[in-house]
Amino acid sequence: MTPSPEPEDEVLLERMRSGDEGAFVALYRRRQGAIYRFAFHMTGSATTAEDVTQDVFLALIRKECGFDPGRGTLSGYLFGIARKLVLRHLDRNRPIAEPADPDQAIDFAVTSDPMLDLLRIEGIDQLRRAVQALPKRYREVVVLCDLEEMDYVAAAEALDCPVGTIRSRLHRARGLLLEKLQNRDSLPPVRALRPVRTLI
Amino acid sequence: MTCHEFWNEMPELAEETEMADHVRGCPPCAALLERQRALAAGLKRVAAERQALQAPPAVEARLVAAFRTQSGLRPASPSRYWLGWVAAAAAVLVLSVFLVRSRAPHPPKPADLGLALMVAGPAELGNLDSDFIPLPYSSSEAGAVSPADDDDLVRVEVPRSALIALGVPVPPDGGTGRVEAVVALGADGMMDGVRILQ
Repeated sequence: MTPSPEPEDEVLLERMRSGDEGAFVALYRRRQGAIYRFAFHMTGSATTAEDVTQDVFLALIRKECGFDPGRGTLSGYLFGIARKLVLRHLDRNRPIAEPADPDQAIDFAVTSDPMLDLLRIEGIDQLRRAVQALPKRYREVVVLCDLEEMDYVAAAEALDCPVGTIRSRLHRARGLLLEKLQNRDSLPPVRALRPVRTLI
Repeated sequence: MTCHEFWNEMPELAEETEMADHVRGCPPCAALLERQRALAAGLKRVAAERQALQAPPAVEARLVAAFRTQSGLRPASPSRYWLGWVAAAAAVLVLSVFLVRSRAPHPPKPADLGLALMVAGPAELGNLDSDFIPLPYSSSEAGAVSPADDDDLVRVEVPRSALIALGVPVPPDGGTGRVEAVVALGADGMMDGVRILQ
């Protein structure tokens, strides 16, 4: 006897809108990981990723949630909200200046956000830093297509742009990554990616 | 194929003959392709390392609380939890009582015994306090029964076999197969006792 297939997102959403808490929990557990990682890769902050994930699903709960199955997938809709929240966060929390003492700054970062310890691991540390140093429009396509392994069509839906744009941005982003990895000394230190509010 | 054409195609498909030919004949493109493949492998490592990252459980708890508020549901509480168990126990109790009562044998109604009912006259009633025999399942103690004030006394003709089935001592058969008796009917319509007239 084969297990019954998991209900699709739209089915769960319909049940959720009828007040089915189990359907909401199932939907959340299915989608939260990718949303959280997207926000984390984009901002480099676990705290911000947590906030973004929560706000994305709060938007889904609200009665005025504007998701229309005829216009796209629920996953694309959720990523679309996450992207807006992430960009808003990045705009509000631009680093204002490099700290004078790099060592002191690194201590600061580690103390305030233990997730950044991951960035100290040798090997792919440079690559992570290079991804986070990409301009936002290139970073988001790398995160979605390369790190989340989303196909171009789904990424185009999430970023609300044509598939051709995804392809060209991804090509450009990979070129930029290679340039940055070639000139490792030019990579910004981890601290430069920290949002200002977490340094206060 | 020119370098421009090569990179306008999908380098991921460089195994195809024409593209592979270009890579073999163009060291700069071959080197760049190699670096791009190394980059792809590195990105896969980053993705694999972070694949297990999830939002903390506290986020789910907050969202579920928000969902309940939005849906007009009351938040789950210990009292609600126990209320469910109490309701279930009460339902089991009621069902048990119902089943026990429905299985308990009832005292026979006169019609069940095929009685021919007649109004009992004073002469037939005789000594009411001592001669009534309690019937099985009646509420009276074993032995003689005294009809209660609200009992109705009815003179009946009853088949001998019915009285024998109830364990009532029956006088010798007069040839009719029926016996005259007075029964005491309780307020519930059930027979409390019987007195044989013959």
